[in-house]
Amino acid sequence: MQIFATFDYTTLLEIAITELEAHGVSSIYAVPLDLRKEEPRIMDSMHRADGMSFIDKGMILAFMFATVGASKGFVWAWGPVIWGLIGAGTGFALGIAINGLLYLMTRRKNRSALLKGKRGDVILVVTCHEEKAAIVADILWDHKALGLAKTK
Amino acid sequence: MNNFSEPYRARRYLAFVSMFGTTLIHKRNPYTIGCWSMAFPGFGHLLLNKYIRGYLLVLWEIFINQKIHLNLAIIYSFNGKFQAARDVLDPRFMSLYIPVYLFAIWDSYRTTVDLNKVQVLAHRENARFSEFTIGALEVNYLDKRKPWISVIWSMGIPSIGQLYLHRIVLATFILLSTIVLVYESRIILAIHYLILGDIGSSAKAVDAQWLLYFPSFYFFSLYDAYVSTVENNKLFDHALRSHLVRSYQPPGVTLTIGSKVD
Repeated sequence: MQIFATFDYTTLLEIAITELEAHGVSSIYAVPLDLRKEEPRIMDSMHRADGMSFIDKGMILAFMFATVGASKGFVWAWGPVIWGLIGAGTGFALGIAINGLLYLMTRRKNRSALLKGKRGDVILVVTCHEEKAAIVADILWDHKALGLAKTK
Repeated sequence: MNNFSEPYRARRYLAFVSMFGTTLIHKRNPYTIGCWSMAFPGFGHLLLNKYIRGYLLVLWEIFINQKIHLNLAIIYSFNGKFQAARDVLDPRFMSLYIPVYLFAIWDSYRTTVDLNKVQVLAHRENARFSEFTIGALEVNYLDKRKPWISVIWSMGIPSIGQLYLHRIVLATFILLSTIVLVYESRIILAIHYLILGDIGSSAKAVDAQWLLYFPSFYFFSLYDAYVSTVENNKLFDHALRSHLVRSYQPPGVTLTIGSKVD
């Protein structure tokens, strides 16, 4: 009997595996998946940085505008703190808006490639005797399996 | 901790999990890092986890800026009071500022380019590194954390996001700097007056020279907390994936796909 289950990368996955081993189930095969690259493009920069370019423009513009705003605030009516905050908010919003525009422009090319909902990172294949299948399935569900199927 | 005790050390490692934090190499955009160095010399290096260089440059920036009153000159210049800017700048140290400032930008840019190459090689080599440290003072391990939680904590007081990520040394540095900046700039006092609706007293309360460190400092700590959380999570995924491939893909396993049962 074979049990297929999908998981995210979590510590619970390792706990599930070790618990199966403690129950005497030894035939465990794990297949970490390569996930499709299109979806996180919004998080990527041209150097394929690291899930960060979504806010990097915003943060940089925020500090720039806040510095100028705080300086101008020494002369303008509302004072440096308020103008600094206004500058920060404006800068951050501007950065996010630029990224949003870039995202819309790149997404148009591969809109069909967008993934929705939960994804699985790993497929776990457990082979065991039929009488143990229920325990194995329980253990996998208890450790946050995303999906599960038994075959025979 | 004796983290790398294999008989044949690997050439490169992606990460080092120590008692005081998880140091890691990941791909970064050199322009982003360069911009942070422009905001405040040393911040680029801190983002690269090159802490000693970062601390030195940050401390130098504060020292020299206090000496020559650059922040005041910036404020005067933005407000068009160019003669006041000329008067406030102290020429005694002024020329010392520029080389270190440019060095910080240039060095963080080129180090990013280099580290990106190192990252490619380390990722391909995929050497095992110790993922867990326990000692007399601390426990550190790879974990999944939520990026926005660390940002929200950092918004309260810069440094807590870093503490959430277990970057002890960076958190201490940022916390101490925050205390000095808050104390000297009297920004909390200004906010206090602002909440009471007394805008005039609020503007007078702050120390302009010290206040101008704040914007870049504050947003840097948010940005660093966010990015480091994302990258720590990616490192966790990578480590678990490597572990599964090493330990749970025994040769000779055949899958006999039958039909689905309940």
